[in-house]
Amino acid sequence: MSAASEGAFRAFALSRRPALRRTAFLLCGDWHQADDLVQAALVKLYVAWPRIRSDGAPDAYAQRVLVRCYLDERRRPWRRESPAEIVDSAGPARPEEDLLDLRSALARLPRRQRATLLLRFWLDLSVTQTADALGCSEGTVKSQTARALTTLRALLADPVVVTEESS
Amino acid sequence: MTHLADQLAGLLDNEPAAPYDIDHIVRSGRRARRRHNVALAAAGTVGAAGLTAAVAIPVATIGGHQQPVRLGVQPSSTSSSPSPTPSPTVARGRCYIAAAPSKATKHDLERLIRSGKVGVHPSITKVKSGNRSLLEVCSKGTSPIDPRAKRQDAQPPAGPAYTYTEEPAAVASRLGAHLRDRVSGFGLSITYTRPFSQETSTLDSGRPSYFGGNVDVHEASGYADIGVQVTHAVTELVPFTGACGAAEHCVETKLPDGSVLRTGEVKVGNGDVVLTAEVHRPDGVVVQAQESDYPFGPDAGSQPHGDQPLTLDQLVTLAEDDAFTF
Repeated sequence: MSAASEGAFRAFALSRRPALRRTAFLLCGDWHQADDLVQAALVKLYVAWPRIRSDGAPDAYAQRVLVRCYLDERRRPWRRESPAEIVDSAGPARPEEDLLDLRSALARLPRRQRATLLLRFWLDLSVTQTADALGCSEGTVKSQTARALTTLRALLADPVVVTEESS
Repeated sequence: MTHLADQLAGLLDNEPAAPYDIDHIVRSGRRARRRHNVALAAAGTVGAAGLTAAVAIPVATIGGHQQPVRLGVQPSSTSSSPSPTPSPTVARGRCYIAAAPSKATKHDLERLIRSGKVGVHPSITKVKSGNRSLLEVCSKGTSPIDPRAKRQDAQPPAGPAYTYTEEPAAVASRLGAHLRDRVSGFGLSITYTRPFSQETSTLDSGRPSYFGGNVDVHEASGYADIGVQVTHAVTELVPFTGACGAAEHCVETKLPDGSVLRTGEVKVGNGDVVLTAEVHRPDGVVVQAQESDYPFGPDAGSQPHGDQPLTLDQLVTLAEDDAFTF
């Protein structure tokens, strides 16, 4: 990669890293794992950078790689264990019971449903864009979204409201 | 009742500080890229062998015809000897032959497409050779053209085609030596050289790939980097192609010989700055000279950052240097 291209990558990575990190945290629920995910995604992004840069859509590509890193990571045998309880390693326990409930509820969602939900309602991707990011059909996105929302609504004391196009 | 996005945002209230390790990411990326390139080369070799076997073994076993069949990589434009299907006229590119029907055909085709050798949407033509059915897989625009049914997507690419007048290795060597001479001429001490290299060894539809190389230099305050990239406008691999883009302080100047000079500055974080001078010559060649106040070489992560090694005028003279050409 040329120095110019690498400079552009550095600039992109520095500017988009915080947003990717937050998305990664919402996906996996752990800041340390989120850092690992973002790093893995950025390394993959670096490899494909000359092509992505010429395509002109590095942000969408980065989000897609991040989500796939998350899904792939969970497929690896040594990552299959699921924590019995969510431990907040980031700081002191917070009093907002509804937020803790949301975190616990998110952790109970199957990983693809969780990823679907976050792509749709956190990153504001359309059904088509979400299907593209996850490598599945639009129908699957709609059904996964509906199931995830049903589960969340059943689990949360404070019901969630979403703006849905069609699901 | 709260909106889901707001609730999700609430989970991020206690976000800890992120570790700053962009250099580590770049180093890991470079290693991954090297592995990726090695894997691609290996896959290409294995794929070519697999395809050859896929054709050679069935054809040799059946032996249903006397005429030889061209196997493996088959540049269609040179198919003067008997081939499965006569190709009256062909464009640049590559065609591959695979046996069909075969249980492995689908796998072979998928592998061929993944390798990128025939593009994402290759044309696949079923052809007969004696009593054998074969598949001819061609990159888009390369398939045998039936003069009676000219296809819309077989139009020649826009812009002038380009052919090298020297071997690519000779071009790379010449450009690298010239960059070192110029940098030394500025009184700078070179500590690391990334030899000029070509992105690919083949021309893509007549377009030259870019040649790029750079050197790290040692200054009193630390280390910095100077690089040159020589390419062609049609490759669209240069940052300011078409516009100044996102660079700060990007300035465009028309030069007396018709060239367009663009200079710009990009802040790449952590206080580091990249300066670029890019000359678009009338013949389509683009020379981009670039300097950064940080090193690029393998020890870049541990070396102190310096200042911009050249003034902007010096950088522009580098980009305007006629010796930087194909």
